[in-house]
Amino acid sequence: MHDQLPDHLLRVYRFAMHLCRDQHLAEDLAQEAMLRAVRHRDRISEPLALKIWLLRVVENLWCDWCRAKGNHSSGELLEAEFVQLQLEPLEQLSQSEEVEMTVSAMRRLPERQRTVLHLIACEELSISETADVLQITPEAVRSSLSIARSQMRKMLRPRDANQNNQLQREDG
Amino acid sequence: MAKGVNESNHEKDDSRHEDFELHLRTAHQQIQVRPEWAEEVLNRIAIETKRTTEVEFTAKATFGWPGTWQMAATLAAGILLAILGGTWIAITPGRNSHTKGNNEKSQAIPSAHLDAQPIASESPKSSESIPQGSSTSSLRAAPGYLAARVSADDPDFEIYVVLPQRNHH
Repeated sequence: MHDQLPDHLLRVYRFAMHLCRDQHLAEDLAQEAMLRAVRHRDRISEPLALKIWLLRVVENLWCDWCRAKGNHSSGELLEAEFVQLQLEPLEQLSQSEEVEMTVSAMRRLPERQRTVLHLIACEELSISETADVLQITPEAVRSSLSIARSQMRKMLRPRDANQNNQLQREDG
Repeated sequence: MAKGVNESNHEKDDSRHEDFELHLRTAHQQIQVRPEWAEEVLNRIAIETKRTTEVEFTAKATFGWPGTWQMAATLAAGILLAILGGTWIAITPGRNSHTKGNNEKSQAIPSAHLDAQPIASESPKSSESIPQGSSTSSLRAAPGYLAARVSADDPDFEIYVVLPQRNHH
């Protein structure tokens, strides 16, 4: 199992970054998750189980960190934080405007929906795997995913209209 | 016609749905770790793996069969408890008074001491009855010796002084 751990380092770090959006905190969370995997390696038998287990540990560590700081619990972002997220510059991501807007839209989602969407879309987990990571039922995952996708479509739709208007003006 | 427009919108929605997830994945894959941090973490993993492996090996070698140790510990504890319990019953002075009464107990221990004394008896009349205060027990000293109880306050503890009887020639 030790040989497989380096393969998961990047995945774990990316998930931690998704949750906390802080480089140093993400490094701490990811490192702790990896070391715990070493200590409890006898409990993990399959590579797939290791992947799920690591992501779950990161999620738990993040929840613990939020509780220790007395901040919002996981999935309960405050309105003020929504505003802050919207204004947060995308420093580390050099990408097209379309990608930036999509990421920005996802950050406006409540944390539970955002995390479900992230695990499905970015980590390419199945519904049941996502349920395992977040320790919720598959039905809850489906519900959150459906709402998240719906919200994303709504947020990105006006942009389509603007683009279409712009295109029409250019054509005219 | 209207139906066709709705289907078109629906397909467009699905298309958008795929697009934004693709964009999310693209953005996600651009996140990279710091090489120094990754190297440090991998070193720690190697150290932790080595440490836990050694601990695991030692634990297995020492406690390979926990049932054996558990049974041995239980047996040893049982034996110790039996020994201590027996010792406590034997040395507790008031223990017999609850079961046999003061009379029997009062005679049991001191008489053993007295009987152990060397007998240099001159006359059978030297045997005396020992006063026991309020107690009704009595003790007879070995011939040639005098015995007297010196503890009178505590009925559970009886101390006797045994002296050789003087010879008056």
